[in-house]
Amino acid sequence: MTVDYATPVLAVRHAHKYFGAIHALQDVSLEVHSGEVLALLGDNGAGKSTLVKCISGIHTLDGGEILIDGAPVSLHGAAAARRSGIETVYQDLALFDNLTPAQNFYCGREIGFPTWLPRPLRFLRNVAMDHDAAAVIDRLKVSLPQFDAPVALMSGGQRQAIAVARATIFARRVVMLDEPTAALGLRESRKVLDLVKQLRAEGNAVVLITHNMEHVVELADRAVVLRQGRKVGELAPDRASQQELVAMIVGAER
Amino acid sequence: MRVSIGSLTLVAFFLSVLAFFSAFAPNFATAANMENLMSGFSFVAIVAIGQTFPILLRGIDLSVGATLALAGMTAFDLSLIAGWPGYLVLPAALVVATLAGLVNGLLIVFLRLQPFIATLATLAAYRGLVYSISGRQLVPSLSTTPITDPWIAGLETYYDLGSWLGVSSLVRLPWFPLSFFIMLAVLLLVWALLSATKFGRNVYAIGGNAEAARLAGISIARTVVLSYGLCGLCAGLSALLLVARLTTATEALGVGTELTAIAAAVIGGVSLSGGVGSVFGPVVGAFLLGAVLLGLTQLGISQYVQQILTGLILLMAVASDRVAFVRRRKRFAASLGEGA
Repeated sequence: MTVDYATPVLAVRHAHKYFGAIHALQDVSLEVHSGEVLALLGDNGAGKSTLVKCISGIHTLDGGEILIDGAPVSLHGAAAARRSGIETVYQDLALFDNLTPAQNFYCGREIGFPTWLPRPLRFLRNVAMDHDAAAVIDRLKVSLPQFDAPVALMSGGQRQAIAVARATIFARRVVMLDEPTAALGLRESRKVLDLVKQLRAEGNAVVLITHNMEHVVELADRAVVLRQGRKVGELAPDRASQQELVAMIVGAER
Repeated sequence: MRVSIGSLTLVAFFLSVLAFFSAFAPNFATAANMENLMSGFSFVAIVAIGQTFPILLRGIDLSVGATLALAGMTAFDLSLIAGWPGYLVLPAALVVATLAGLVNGLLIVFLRLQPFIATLATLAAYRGLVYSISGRQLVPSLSTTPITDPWIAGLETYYDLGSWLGVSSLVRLPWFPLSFFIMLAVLLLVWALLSATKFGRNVYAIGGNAEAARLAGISIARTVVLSYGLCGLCAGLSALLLVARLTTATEALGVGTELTAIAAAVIGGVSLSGGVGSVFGPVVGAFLLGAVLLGLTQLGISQYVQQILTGLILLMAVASDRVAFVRRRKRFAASLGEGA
């Protein structure tokens, strides 16, 4: 997949967000193109998660705009963002422990029938959903002990793989991952990074939040650094610029 | 459908309770006693089915007993004072009960009250409302007048399935009350709603992880309000069966029913920590409690000891639910620690 620099899939322009007296995002702009991984970096409280939540429809911006394929959109609610093709994997996983992987995948957007019934009363196509979910799990080479057990019984890595795989089923334009490897061991992190590469290879624009510089250098095509709600830098990360990135994050440049 | 070990244990326990009392209580295994069990506890089972919704949402509805009385008193007033025909009284009472449930849901969603607190408050309020609208107080002469409207009284009908099937010469089957079949119909409807529809899946999702449900774009407010409304509707249906059976409604109708219904649901494996359990459990739980109470009575054990034993059964059920929850947590923590 070649990177199309003509129109960014996702663009944020001059975003502002207030929480009471706190100015959490101050004039932040960024662009992501399909087929690239954008690393979103910053120390705790820099505004990364706030920005992600604004893009995924959980928060609404107090100023600025969000453009999908060059067209301004209003993302009110998680469902609206999803309809626009934005999938998010949250830091705290946001899985349902009491549901099976397939039920987790489709939660909130189950395939139902018949269409003349009001949406909540539609019957679930469980067989079709199980089948599709199993196919994705297979394609991503995630190994699960049991496909019909609640995810509470699965390991941290398996749970994270389920969360990422859930995003891949529906991803059409943008996938955002908020610290997907934070709670994982080395081997499991590797698995998740492979999934991220695969998302990129399938033509998605990927926004990756992480504290791990190794992962940034390995995966990211570009990196945007936030500090105290402001965008303080943007560059293409490699071994040589790693020090510079860290300096920008902690605010020790110059 | 997956059958869990827990539900098999429950059914086995129920059967062994039946076997125990059949062996030791003199009149337990008789057709008349089974009739008592079915007609006396179908209405409890319906309340317990309704209670399944709030508990699956990690909430609780303490007001179902008072809601039941409110629906019962509405039926009493409309039938005896206003003189409405039964085919209007029945839906009106159901609407009142559903509204009472919806109010619970609205309090929980929009005032962000703990379900326990909100429904404790409405428990008191609804019961007070029952006293203030009581037709027995307003028109004292009515307090001894039975409700004879055929639509309402007709709910208390028994069917002799034994003769209908032509087996009455071989074995004496109990006559099945209409309330038992209504309970079965409610059970099937609610089971289909919870296990096969999007609404049901949303209930389980919110009970499992409300924050994740919000992130998944599920409308929590709508699901919660409707669930408490359905719980109220079940209490209302149960009230009509009870009023038909007693041919009247009293201010104290359904006092304590909330505890029996919650006990039945928890005994039936609906976890108080939310999102786990099926609607069959509460029904088995209700009849289990019923069998124990009837059996103990026939063994000549006093009412007070029966209450203590009921409490102990509830305690056992809650404890085993808690142990299962802690075990799930531990297993999860261990799996996070060790990695793949």
